[in-house]
Amino acid sequence: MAATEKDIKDFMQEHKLQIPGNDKFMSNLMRQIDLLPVPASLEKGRISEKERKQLLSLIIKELKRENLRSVSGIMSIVILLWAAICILLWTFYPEASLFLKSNGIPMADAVIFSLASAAFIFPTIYLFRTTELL
Amino acid sequence: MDKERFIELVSQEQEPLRRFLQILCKGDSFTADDLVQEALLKAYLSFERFEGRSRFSTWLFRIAYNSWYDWIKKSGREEEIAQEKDTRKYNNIPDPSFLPDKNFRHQELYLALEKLSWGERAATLLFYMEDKSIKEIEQILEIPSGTVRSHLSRARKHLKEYLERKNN
Repeated sequence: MAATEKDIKDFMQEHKLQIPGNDKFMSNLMRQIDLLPVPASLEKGRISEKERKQLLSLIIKELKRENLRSVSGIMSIVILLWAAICILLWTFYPEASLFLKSNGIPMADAVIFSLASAAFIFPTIYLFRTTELL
Repeated sequence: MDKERFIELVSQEQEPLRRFLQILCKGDSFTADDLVQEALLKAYLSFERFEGRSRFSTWLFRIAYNSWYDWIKKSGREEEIAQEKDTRKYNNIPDPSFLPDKNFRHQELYLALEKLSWGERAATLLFYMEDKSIKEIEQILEIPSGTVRSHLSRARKHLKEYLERKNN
């Protein structure tokens, strides 16, 4: 009868050598290892290159989320401030409404400029913080 | 990974490594154990070179196989090895001295493997006994996957013939 692939596998597994003295071998090895200095790559508490990259990636993601939250908050405050100033002027100084009506375009420019400045300045501050961490 | 983890992993792998080298050393368990110990100490000292591209077990097998290869070269069998390393000149020369002591209890395994060349024998042991994949054998023996396949194909043919003869 022709031998099959399974027969070969079975034959090899049946004749698998049982290796005695595992404990003795390991204790000899441990004794040898204890005589050697611990390599830097196996020192306790040391993080591998892969772990370092994962950690950095997590920090960067967290900083990006923090930046986004801060910028959104600052933009909302700036918008609210401008709205409050306009309402106050409109209410208490009626003549100011005339000024606002006649200078609508420069005023809108000022609002846009302040929003754009806030959006530029604050992320830049956070970018410096991120660079320091890296 | 720290020293304790390294030792834990090594203790799981030492038995297959010792078995593999013991067969390659023709049943000489003392030499095989010395070579495995040497390989494991090399692995310990050069752990920073383990890049994690292969499994830890594959890396240890490669170091152990290289230790055995260096030992066999030193013991004056360079010609056989050289013939096998150069696959273009490959002519499947068996090792006439492979059979160990007649009283050795794994005589039958050695009889089955005796007509195989070093490379075929190593690939066969890794594939059928240690359940390594072709890719892992390629990394351990540091030969192309095509050569691993041809080693296995020749070994398979030989072992089939051996088993058929034995059964008849």
